[in-house]
Amino acid sequence: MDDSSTSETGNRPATNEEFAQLLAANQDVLLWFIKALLPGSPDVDDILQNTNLVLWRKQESFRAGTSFLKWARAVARWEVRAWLSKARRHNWLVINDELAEAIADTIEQESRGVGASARLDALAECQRKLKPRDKLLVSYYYQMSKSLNECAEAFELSANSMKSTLHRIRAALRRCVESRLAMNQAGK
Amino acid sequence: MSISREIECQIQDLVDGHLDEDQQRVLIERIANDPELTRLYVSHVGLDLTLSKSMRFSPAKLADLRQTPPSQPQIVKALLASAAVVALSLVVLRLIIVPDPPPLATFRASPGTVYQLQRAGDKAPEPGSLILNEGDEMTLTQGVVELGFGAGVRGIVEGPAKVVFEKKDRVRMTDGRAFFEVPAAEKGFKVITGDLIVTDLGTEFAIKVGDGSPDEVHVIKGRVEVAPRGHAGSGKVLEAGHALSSLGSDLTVTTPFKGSIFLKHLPDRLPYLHIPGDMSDDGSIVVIGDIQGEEPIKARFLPGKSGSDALPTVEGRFGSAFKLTGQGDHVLTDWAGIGQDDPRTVAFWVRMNPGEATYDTACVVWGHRPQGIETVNRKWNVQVALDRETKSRCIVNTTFGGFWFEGTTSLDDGQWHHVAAVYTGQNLPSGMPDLRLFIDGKREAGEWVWNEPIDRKEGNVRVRTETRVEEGAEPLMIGKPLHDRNSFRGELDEIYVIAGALETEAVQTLWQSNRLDLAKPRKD
Repeated sequence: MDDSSTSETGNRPATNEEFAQLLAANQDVLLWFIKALLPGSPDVDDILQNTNLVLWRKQESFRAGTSFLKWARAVARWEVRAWLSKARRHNWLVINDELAEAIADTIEQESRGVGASARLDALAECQRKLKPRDKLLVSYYYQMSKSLNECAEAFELSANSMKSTLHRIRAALRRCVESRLAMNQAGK
Repeated sequence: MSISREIECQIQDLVDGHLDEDQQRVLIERIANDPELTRLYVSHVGLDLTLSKSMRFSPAKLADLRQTPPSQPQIVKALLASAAVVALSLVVLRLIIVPDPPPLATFRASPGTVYQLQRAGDKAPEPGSLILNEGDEMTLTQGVVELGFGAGVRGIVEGPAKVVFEKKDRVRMTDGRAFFEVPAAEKGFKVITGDLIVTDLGTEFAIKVGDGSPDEVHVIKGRVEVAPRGHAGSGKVLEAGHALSSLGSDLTVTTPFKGSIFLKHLPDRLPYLHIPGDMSDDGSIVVIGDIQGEEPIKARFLPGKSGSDALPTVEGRFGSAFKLTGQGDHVLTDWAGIGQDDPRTVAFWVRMNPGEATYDTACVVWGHRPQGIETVNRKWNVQVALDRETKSRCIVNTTFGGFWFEGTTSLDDGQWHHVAAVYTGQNLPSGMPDLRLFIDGKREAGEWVWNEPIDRKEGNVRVRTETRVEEGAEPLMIGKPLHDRNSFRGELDEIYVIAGALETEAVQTLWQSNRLDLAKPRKD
């Protein structure tokens, strides 16, 4: 997923095509990183778009053969700070630089050799194992972008029951997806 | 170290944004000091993103649906908003032993949508419930509903529509239009129409039924199998880019493929068309809106006897406005209009000087008017014209063909006035169509006038606006009636056609702000 190609690229600017490919290939990881720095924010997609715009504007300063992801993450980190500043939420979330680095490293490890489509496939397999009502509930929450209270009402649950049900389902999906991805990696 | 369920729940709350600042700080500190918790946090962020990606209906911004359930007492009627919901929901859930039938699907509706839901067994619908069960019946009076099912199957149903969930893997659709997107793993569900049985083979396809025409299937991706009802085994496989219509047992593959006219995502308002009175840089007439799905609607100027090369424009109420001279000059589109008794709203700004009005003209019109016959109810025409009785007052007249509603306010004073004609698709207790006229945001008094004989069924006057070209219908025109006399003279601006009946507040917003702002979806 990352770029760091070797040497043959030398120290020249990336071509437009190379740059576009790197940008496209790293969108999922960048979004993951931004969301981890701003959990619960509805603006992560906008911040990713702003990051992309800055990356395009600064395209010439990127050198083929260097780490695109490291460079792009630094820009994303700045965009997150800019968002916090504009939103006047300097102290909103205390993810300091050290934790941001740890998060970035963890994402890199988790995504090494595992693309977004592999995750989607693993998730689809795991969802098939859910009980039908659980499958519908999590689909409703994500497909319809509903709040917990709206979901609770639709499924005739209390808000607390809805929350704990969603937690249970997602914990199960997490374990299942990790297990499937590990099996797939081992099988390679 | 084993991670407690409690901390994993807290991490999920953090990802969802459900913790307050203090709670976040405490948890973040724990995460920062524990690599296992860092990994768990990162995993849940990733899972949340992957779930969103796998389920998101549309890559575009999700509509602001403002769909909080109505607070008024629920009325137990069943209007099935979308056939798609029924079909899709049946496929998804297959429980083996259940004390109660499992839910089959969920749905959401665009603003301005009106629907009724009848539960199987006449059970009372639960307030705010957006779940559909086996045996439910939904009728969509107007608007659009999106259906969601557990395995990623979804559908978009445009009203008016009627759908019944017959069995877990079968839905019946007797009216309306619907688009279905079915992942390959879920192939096999069926949609039954009046004429056809459509079996999905892992695809995207659309269906159009009702309105007096043969049922149609359009395959957008993948394949479907189509068989005439009552003739099992005589079906054919239809591939992407092809369409089929039927009449009885005859399957003919001659229907032009029109996959683009079907909505594929939930709109953030009722389907609409807007001709703002502006011209684009290349001189073409600007037409906006999704009343014909992704298929653009074209409009062109026909000069009649005016001798103009181009459509004259003047400064309008908002931007530019069309100036028509009453010499047969008009705007012709390629959109067929809203047919039968489907609800609709037409709104526009008009300015006319004293003496410019004529009798029996047109501002916004479509449909069919057989030559020489004045009593056939096959058209829809909203006009600002002289009244029939005295031919001296310039009023708003909305006609369906043979019966029309005349307003009372004179409009030819050289000032801009906003006109809105709203037809709900229903009948009043008197049997006349429920038509509401608004002038400058205020409800207009008026009366019905008609020629005999008037077409009634069980006491109700029938509205049967024709949109089929093969039945003689003409598409939407601005400024020229369906006959060759008396075209419109005056200025027109911000012409809207909306596939639904606007409520008073929405008409007033359109008048005040030139913006289509709709009510939350309503269950009748």
